[in-house]
Amino acid sequence: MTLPFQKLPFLVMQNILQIMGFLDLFLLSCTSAKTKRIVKNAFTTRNHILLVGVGEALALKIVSGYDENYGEQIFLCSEEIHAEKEFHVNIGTVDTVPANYSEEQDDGTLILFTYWSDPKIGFNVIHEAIFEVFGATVNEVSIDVAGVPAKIHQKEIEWLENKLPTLPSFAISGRCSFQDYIWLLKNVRTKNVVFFSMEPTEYSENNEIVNLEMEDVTITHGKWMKIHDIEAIKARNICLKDISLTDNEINVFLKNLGAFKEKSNMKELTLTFYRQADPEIVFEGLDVINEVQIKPVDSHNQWSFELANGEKCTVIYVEYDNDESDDLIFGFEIQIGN
Amino acid sequence: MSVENAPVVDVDEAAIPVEKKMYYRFESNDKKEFRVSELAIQQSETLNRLVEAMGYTSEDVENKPAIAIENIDGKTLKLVFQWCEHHKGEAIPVDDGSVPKIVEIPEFDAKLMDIDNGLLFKLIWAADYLNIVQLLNVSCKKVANMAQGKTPAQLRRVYLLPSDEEDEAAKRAAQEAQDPRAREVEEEFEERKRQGGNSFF
Repeated sequence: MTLPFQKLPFLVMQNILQIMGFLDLFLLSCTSAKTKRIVKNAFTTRNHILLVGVGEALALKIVSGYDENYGEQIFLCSEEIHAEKEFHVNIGTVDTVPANYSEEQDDGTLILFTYWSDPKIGFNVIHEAIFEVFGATVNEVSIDVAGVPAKIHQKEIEWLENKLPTLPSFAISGRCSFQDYIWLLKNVRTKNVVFFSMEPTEYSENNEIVNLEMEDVTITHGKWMKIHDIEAIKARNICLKDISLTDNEINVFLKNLGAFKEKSNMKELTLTFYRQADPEIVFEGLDVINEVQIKPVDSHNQWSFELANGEKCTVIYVEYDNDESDDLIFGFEIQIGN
Repeated sequence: MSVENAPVVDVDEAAIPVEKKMYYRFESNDKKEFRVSELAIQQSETLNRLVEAMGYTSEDVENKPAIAIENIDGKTLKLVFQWCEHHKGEAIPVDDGSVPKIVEIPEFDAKLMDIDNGLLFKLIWAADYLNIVQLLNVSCKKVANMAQGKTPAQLRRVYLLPSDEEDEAAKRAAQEAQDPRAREVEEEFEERKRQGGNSFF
């Protein structure tokens, strides 16, 4: 059953290509230079994004710029992996890259596995080819450190940060040793949005100050953090989950914040914990105004006080939904500025 | 063949309503005649504009020759009008620009398009020419589905895609067809090379 695709009118070809899945388009673009031009020209709005996943293998996910839930993946595996390489594909300047498809996923998509003597070289080749065809640039790197020896993911992070110096978003997940955990915090240099979602296997005493400087940072396992660790973060938006600070320690933190005379770069700090807080203790000694009348609808209460630099500090006490367990999550959302 | 003697293909007899509605007559390039309801015609932007411009009355439709559609054959046109009758009155979809474009093939359309690829190719051309947006969408979806999970070699076979070498050869042939002197020059150049000269001049 054949159909002479290139003999169809251009707008019809464009319509067909806009219906096709990303992997089909990608492989179609690899069939010849002319077909690549046709595929490329079919996408006048080039707003797809590329996510890079690093775990046991490197993966690239092309995500629709129109529907972030729709994406298709290409894995870059080592040639040494024993797998049935069912076909070959010419990608960019590299001919006959061994490849095969996965079984169909739950969402009906397939995964394309490609095999390289060096997957990092493969990454460069596929990254360039995807950029050329779809105009998709890397929007987020997400690294799963679970089950990967520390030395390997440390090297991968260094390589990725050199390869993608202006990366918009970096997310790290998985369980690792506390030593690795601190290494990751200290060595991610991305300046934009960073999600430190990895979980240490144990919480040891941390004697090093970790200076984080980025636009937006989230730490999901912040049990280890002391007041000085929070104060060492220089970011506009900070979200620290599962912290173990007591109400007295939060009170000290707020007093330190209030005494700060220079204009703060921080605009929002969220602290969450698995317990209820006592506002009497948290605001003890602070000249706070109760703003319960103007509190956000889904919050418990709101207070404000003035910082030494003249800025207003608003503190909202919130109870959050917990999708993972029955434990109640509470927190303070601290906003700086008028 | 005269219009009077042309076979009349009633696309959907059951759909003919009791009340008086306008049915237009169309003729394919192989002289097959079709009677199509006014509402079904609205699925085709091209035909809808055409009949609006013609301003036919019911009498005109019966007395004047059928409207000729010269570049679509009867077999294809029958499918087109079957589709239009089935989907008459449905809203014409507007492209929201989303990619990948979400297109579902309804059961009726799937059965209608259970045809060989040669006829599917003609159906797509017809849907494009007659500007029937949703028929074009579903037929394009059927073609897009042919690529699912295919290897590059299979894609080349399914879509008859020439290789780079074949594209290059076709390009050369087209250039030579345009300029016969180019071939002579090339042959002369090859001949000189064979004789040992490394300069053309």
